[in-house]
Amino acid sequence: MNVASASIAAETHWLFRKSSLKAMGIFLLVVAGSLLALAQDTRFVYLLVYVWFGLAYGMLLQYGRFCMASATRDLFAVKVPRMAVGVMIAVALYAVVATIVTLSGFSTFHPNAMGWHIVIGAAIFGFGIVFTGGCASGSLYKAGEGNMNSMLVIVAISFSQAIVVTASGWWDALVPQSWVASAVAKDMPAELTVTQGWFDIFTAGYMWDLKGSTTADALGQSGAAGIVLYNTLLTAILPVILILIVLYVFYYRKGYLRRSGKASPVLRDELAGMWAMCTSSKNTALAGIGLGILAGLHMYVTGALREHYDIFNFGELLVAMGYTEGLSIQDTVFDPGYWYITTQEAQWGGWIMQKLGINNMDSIFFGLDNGLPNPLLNAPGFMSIGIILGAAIMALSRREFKWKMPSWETAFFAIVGGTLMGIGARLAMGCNIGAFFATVTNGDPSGWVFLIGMVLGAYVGVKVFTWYMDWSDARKPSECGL
Amino acid sequence: MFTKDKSMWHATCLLMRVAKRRMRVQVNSLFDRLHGRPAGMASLVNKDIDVPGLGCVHVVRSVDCLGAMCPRPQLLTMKVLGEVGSGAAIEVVLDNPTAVEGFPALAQTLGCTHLATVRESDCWRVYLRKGFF
Repeated sequence: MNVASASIAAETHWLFRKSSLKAMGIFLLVVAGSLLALAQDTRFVYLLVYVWFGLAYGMLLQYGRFCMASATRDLFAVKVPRMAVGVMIAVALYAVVATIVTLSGFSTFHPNAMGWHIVIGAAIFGFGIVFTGGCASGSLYKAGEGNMNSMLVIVAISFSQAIVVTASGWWDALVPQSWVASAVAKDMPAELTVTQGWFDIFTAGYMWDLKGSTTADALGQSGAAGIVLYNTLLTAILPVILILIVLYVFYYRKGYLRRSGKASPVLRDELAGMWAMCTSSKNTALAGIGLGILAGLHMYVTGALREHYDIFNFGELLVAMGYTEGLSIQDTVFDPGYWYITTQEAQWGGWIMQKLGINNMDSIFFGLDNGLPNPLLNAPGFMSIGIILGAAIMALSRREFKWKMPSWETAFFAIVGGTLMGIGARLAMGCNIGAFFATVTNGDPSGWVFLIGMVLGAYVGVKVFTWYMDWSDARKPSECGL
Repeated sequence: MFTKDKSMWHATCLLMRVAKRRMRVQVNSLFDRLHGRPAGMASLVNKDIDVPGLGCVHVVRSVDCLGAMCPRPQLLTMKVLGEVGSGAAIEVVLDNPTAVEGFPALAQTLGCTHLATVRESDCWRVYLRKGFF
């Protein structure tokens, strides 16, 4: 690749550039904020772990231009496997680090329930990402690059999720009557009104009856050897290798062999081709390695802090510090302990709606499980803000920050796509991070089901998007300039 | 008196007309800003461009993808490459870092050579030549 820099900007030293100063300013702001929080109470260190890991995720995502939406979309849109390869590298490394964390007893991971809802939700999510131009984490880091369109996507994801999980009325007709009976049988506290609200009925009447477990647990092999063999090798590494081979054979091999001029390749050439595919974008590969390791470390640090404070959930720490508002009826808040994106965004939307007078705490999602804490005390929420700030720091220091305002068209796509992403993420119990990246790497095969659904959704999304582009070009030939 | 009134009437009309025109300009510019330019346009250029580190390149098409979200730049490039002859060079103007990163890989799949990516103060210019060289 031949990259030439424009001469004007190259002359100024990094330290003296205005954008670098802004980047340092944001960094110092985060440092000052962290110190302020610690001065209030040292136990806020638990929340700050989320902030700083978020910051690091944001920097790496921006550095590698790590777009997980393009991982599935570009396979169909333009037949480029670059990002799919990057994601697979990250999955393999996260899996290795996650195994070490699990073996050391600090794992914070909970498997997802396996069922049809994952495929359906993931397909809706996958369809949405084609129109928003990024997944949930992608939109966060692109917002950090100054892209207001992505900011709009985040707002749409936040509110659509909050509305979906609390909606009742005609929505309740979406779920079968048998789920209502099953939900009633769960004997939940009356304030949750589990028979009102389709998502409550879905959760209590359908989801809770499903089983979710890691491969090792399902096979009754929960020892160290079982974890390494079934969770890491069978559930994560083996599928990664298979997917890389498929990507190589279908997307890379032909072009590589033609370029390298090998008419009758032997195994060595094929392996060299696979290596070339993995290293074709160094930034992306490096970001994949970094993200994989950091995501595993994040689990370790949170797990160790839980051990230190003798807690299971950040809610207990909040109670001990005297903050009781917005906790669920179990005194818990959303606190996954690892990289997660969508639930905290749902909490932002839900919190604003609650402040506007709509009672959201009568839902299982907020009232029983995740709570609706003040965004200033929302630990995973700060991870999302950290991603935005981290990406802004990296983008500013690389002179890639640029305010971009949406046009009517992109704003429409952002809101519609973001809403679909929100609905899909709630049905599938997470986005491509929480329901795919964090699950498969911890030995829960439900993440691969999510990926299949997401790929299907992206396939349909690309078809619709291409059709739309042709249609809009045909409609205004004069503007197109062709 | 009459003439004074008349001139005042004229002056008022003139002021109204100026105000109207200003208003129209304001509304138009507001509409333009809101509507935005059509994100992603391909235009015929046919000009020689001095690409740093590469020398003079004859570019037949320029694809303007400023402000466009993925996958529009990629799809538009694909379309334009399908319309130019083998050996012809095109230019893609982008301000989306994620899309820029993917262009060398995209070039390989689309059967063209990635000549250069030139960084400018607020955008990137990617040069591609159809066919492998």
